[in-house]
Amino acid sequence: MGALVSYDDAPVTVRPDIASTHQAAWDRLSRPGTWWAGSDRIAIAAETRAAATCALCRDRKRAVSPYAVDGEHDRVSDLPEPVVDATHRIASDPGRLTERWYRELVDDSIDDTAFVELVGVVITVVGIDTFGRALGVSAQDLPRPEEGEPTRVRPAGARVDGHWVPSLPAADPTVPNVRRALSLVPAEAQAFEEMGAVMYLPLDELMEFGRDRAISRPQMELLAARVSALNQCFY
Amino acid sequence: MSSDVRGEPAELGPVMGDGGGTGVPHGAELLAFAEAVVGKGGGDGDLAAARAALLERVGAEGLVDAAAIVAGFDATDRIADATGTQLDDYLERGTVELRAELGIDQLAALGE
Repeated sequence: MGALVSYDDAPVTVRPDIASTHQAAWDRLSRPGTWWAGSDRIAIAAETRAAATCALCRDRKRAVSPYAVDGEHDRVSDLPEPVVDATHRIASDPGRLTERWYRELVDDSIDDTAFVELVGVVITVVGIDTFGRALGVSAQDLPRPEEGEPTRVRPAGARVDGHWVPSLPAADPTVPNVRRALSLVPAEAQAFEEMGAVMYLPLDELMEFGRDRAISRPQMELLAARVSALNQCFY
Repeated sequence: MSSDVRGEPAELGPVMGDGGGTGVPHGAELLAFAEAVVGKGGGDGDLAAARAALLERVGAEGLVDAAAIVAGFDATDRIADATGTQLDDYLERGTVELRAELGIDQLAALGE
């Protein structure tokens, strides 16, 4: 069953396109994905939130190297440990993820396709939770998972080009690499596009530097740049 | 880039936290809001104050847009970092001076 995404408690009126897109994204969480069952997707979502209060994540965040700190996560699901670890690392300390870490993960524990979908779930939760926190809204209830099997369809033509993970080429060479990053799982890439369109700008408006919202494009970019600097995100 | 295109030059050092002015209208409140939402210090009280200050400056719709941008990039950063997304060639060529000015290249070295 879906959970209602509500911004009734927000101090201001939330744009309808944001609210509706967030509701659609929340509903997707509960449904079987391409590689994960609905129950697994909800478990990943729950672990994404759990990372915020996980002692191991806290200790790793403070360490010079997060890879030098061993221990067990304060988990909230029965997901395999590598899946929990990946989820917590992406949620809590993404700026220090390494290619070596990724290669070892997909070599030993998780297929690249499942990993990309996991990333898609994590960022859905992060995006909606951060938006709510920014406005002072309580965290949305996670939906109950739906039954059904994942589709397990890997798109043809995916190759390593611009990322550690395989991705699909874009017909338009000006499409930024980050907008192709989840394309190994097209449903996640599509969901990211939908979220990006309402929370930032549609893809076809990115190069329109005169494109404002209620705040100007320079104000938008200032916010974006500061967030990325705080997250230590090079891209 | 957007500021240059519009003829409204902006200072970018504050993006990396150098404490200076941005030249962007309500830049200080925007930065404080981003830091309160995503930053590592402060608590709910700091966020509430930053939210109120920004609301006063940019209005209700502006606050929603700001929250959406902060949240959207908090998510997008994780996509880029978790998938090892590389800087596009055309972006890399176009941002040589900018990255040097802000010391951003040192962030890339962290992931090697």
